[in-house]
Amino acid sequence: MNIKLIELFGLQVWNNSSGKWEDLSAKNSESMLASLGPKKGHSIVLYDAGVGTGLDPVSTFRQAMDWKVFAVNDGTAITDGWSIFGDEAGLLINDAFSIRIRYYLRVTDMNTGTPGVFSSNEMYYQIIKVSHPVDHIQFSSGGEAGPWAPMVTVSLPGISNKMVSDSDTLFSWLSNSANWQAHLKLPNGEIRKYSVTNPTVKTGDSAEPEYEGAVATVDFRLPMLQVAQSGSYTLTISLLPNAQGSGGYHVFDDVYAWTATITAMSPSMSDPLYLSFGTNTFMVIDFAQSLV
Amino acid sequence: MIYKGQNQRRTVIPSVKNAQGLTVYIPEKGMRAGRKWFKAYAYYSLTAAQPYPLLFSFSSEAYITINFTSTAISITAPFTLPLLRFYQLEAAKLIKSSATLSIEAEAQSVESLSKEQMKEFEGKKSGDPIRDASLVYALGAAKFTPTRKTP
Repeated sequence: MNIKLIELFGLQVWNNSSGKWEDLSAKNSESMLASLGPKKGHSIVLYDAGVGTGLDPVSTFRQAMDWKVFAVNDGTAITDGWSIFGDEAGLLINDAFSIRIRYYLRVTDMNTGTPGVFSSNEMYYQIIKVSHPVDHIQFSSGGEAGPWAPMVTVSLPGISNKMVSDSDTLFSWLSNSANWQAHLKLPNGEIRKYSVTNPTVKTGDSAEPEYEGAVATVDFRLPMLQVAQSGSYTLTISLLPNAQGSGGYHVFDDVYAWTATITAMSPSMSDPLYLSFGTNTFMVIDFAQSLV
Repeated sequence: MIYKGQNQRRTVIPSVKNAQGLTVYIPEKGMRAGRKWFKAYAYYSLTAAQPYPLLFSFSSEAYITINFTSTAISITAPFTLPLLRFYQLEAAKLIKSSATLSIEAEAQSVESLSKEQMKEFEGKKSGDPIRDASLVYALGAAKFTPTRKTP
């Protein structure tokens, strides 16, 4: 039972002005507009076997989709060249950011008689063109005088309970510590990598323009950073997005930079040799403070 | 079985109602080259799911990953819709959330039935719900031996 067609249907986009999920629209290269919303008859085609043998469901399917150019099934034919961006009413403007889209999945099998059509019961969500303010990462202060275990809070556009009930459950990716990294640049140019501990995600409404209505804040702790020499340090946070191909971790520009002044106490004795007529020795040791 | 009359395009399965009003579907049987033959009804389902409910992308492009879970069950014994749901639940127990796999039930072959089973099956007309249930379970669920296919 191979798969002939994989589609996204019942598509909606969050409109922060109206505070509602609204039908997502698209236009093709001939500027024909169509609604991709529920019960509108149009769907986005992720995979079409065409005259091929279809896709074996044993394998995981992975496909890049550009919301600027994709294929649409209008129920009679599949055509390319559709986009959700444009100047026409109902489309998203080209420089829109932090766009939230949700949809159902639908799979059609290769049965030559009456094809089986299977739809997902749950909706899936995407936040594309993720945007955030320049200052969106908070670090606990420290590190100026020695080792330091920072607390970090990263804010990103999210989905609040106003948009979806139990919205926290959508952010399993962000709560996986394997998807976060920290890099510490030492005064000598060396860079050390650190893992994060116990990231926890909270969602809520936000008036910050870049978040377009809702924010997800991720709190985590870093292990003890080795600050053993004086000089300039830079701490960088990065996240592995779960919807990209080979780009690797996304490094955030909002870093924590500081100057450390590390002092050491050097012991010395004024006389290199002590003479004593008994078994006791009276020693004088001086300590000198110096920068490391 | 294909209706040739008013519902020409509709495929239906012969069925009888037992004493409790429960519809029992009966696979067709016949003789082929001197051997008894049963038409197996294939019952299958396919679900598609993204491993993560929310995808993050810093651009307008998103890589969408989809895992499939398919179940396929062939039945040559009388069956009811609750029985099909039972099969589905049995199949679901074998599905791990992190795995992509397909489950296929072993098709019932007439040669595998005992004489007693054959006799009971051939003698079945309709009616006794207890006998129907035990028969269905014996001929169907007992032969339900799912196997896994992994990528």
